[in-house]
Amino acid sequence: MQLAEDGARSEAHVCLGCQQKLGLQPDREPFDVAMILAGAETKPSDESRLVRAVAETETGCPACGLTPSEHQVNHLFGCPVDYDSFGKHVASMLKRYHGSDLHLGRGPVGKNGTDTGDLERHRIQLEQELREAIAQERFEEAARLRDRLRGAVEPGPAS
Amino acid sequence: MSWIVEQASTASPWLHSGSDPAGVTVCSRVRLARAVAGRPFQRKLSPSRQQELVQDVLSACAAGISAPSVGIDLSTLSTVERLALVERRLASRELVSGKHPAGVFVADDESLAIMANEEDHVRLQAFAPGLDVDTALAGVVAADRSLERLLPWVFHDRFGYLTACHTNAGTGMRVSVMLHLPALDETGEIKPILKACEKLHLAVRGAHGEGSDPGGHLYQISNLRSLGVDEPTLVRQVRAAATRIRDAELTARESLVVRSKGLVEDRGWRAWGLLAHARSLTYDELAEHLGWLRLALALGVLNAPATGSDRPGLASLLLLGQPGHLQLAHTAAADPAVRDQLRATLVRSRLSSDP
Repeated sequence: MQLAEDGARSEAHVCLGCQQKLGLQPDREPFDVAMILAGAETKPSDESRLVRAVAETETGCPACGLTPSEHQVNHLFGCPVDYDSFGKHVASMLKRYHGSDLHLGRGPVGKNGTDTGDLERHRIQLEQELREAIAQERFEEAARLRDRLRGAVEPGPAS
Repeated sequence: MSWIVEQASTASPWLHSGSDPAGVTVCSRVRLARAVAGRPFQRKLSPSRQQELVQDVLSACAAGISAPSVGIDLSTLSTVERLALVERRLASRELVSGKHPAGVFVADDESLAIMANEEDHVRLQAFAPGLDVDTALAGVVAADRSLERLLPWVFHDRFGYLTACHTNAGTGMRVSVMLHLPALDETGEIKPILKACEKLHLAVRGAHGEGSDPGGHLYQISNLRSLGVDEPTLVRQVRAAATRIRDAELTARESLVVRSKGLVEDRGWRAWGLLAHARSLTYDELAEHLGWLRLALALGVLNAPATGSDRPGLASLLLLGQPGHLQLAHTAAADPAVRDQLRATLVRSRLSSDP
C-alpha cells in the first residue's frame, strides 16, 4: 500500500492483520479469493443485488411511467409497452415462470383469415432449437434444422 | 327483478348435466385474459377511463355475441347480488370488490361470462359440465374471435397476448376442471397427488380458485404456465391430469369400500341424518356432509330414492345454500344465525326425512 508522510510518498507491503493493527485503510477492497475460485461473480445474492441496482438506475416506461422497482411491489405491469421497455428482464422473468419466452399459441385473425405471427414464431422457434442443437453438439439435427430454417425464411419458388 | 335475482333461484346449468356417472368431475372452465389496444393496464388507467372501458366492453359484447345474454354494470348491483355472481363463478371476488368500475356480460345459459376491468381489461370464460374442456375451449375461442373484431387485443410477436401480470402472458389461457375428491381426502392420498401436480406445473385450489379452501372435498386443477405451449396442448395437459386424478379417486373409492365399507356407510347415513333433520347448518357443515352423501350415493352404499337425494339435487344445494343465494331468496338471511336456519330449512325441503 502507498503511504504519505511529510510530503514524502513510500510504498509498503503489509498483510491484512498488520494493516488492521496499524489502523491503515486499504487502497482498495481486498479480493475475495474464494469468490474468484468459485466464479462467484454470479452468486445468487450478488446477482439479485446487481439486477436490483441495474433496475433502479433504469428509467421508467416512456408510455406509462412504471419503474422496475414499482413493478417489483406487486408484479403487475402498467401498460403493454412495459414488456419492451424492461427488455431482457421481462424475457428472463417469463422464462423463469413459463419455461419459455416464446408464444406458440393462436394469434389475432389477419386480413386473410389466418393467424398472424405464425411464420415469425415458427422461425424464432427453429432458431432457438438450432442454437440448442449446436450447443449440445447434435450436428446432424443442427443441419436438418438449418435447412428447415432456410425454407422458413426464404420464399419458395413461384408456382 | 334483476337478472341475477331470477337466476339465483335455480342451479347453474353446467351443474346439472355432467356425464360423469360417479360425479367426480363436476365442471370444466377455460378462461382467456386479454388487453384492449391503445390503453394502459388497469393500475395505470384513471377511474373515468376504467368506466369508459367497461362500457366499451359491454357494448362490444352486446354487438358481437348473438346468444341470449345480459350485460351488467356492477355499480347497479347490491353487494349481495354481486356475491351471488361470485358464487355462480360468473365473476371473480376482485371484480365485485367495488374498488373499481366493473362489468360482466353473461349468456343466459351461463355457459359464457365476460368480465370487464378485472386485473386485465377483459377476461372471457366458458363453462361446460363434467370433464369437457374441449366444449369450454370452443365456447371461449368463439367469443374471443367475435370480440377481437370490435376490440383489437394487444398482441406481441414474441410474447403473445400481453396481460397485466406476466403469469398470464402468451395464450392468456387458464384451463380448469373442478373435481370432487372425498376418497382421496379420506385416505390421505391427495397429498402426493398435489405434489405431483406441482411438478407438472399445475395448480390445485379450492372450488373458487386462488385463495379458496377445498370445502366439500371440491378441488380445482388448472395450468400454471400459459406461454410457450399452444392452446390445444394446454387443454390436453389439464384433461390428462384431471383424468388421472379422477381414476385415482375411483380407485380410492373402491378400496375404501373394500377396506372400510362400514365407515363409508356410517359417514353417509350420518351425513343424510344431519342434513335431513338439522335446524341450523353452517355452509361448511353443508359442504362437508353433502360431500359424504354424494360419495355414499355414488358407491351405492345409500339409496338415492330412499334419501330423496340425487346427484344434481345435491349439487344444486351446494350452490343455493351459499350466503349470497340465501340472502337473495330471503331478506332475513342477512343475519348469519337466521341464514343458518334458512339453509337447514332449504336442505330439509329437498331431502326425504324418512328413509
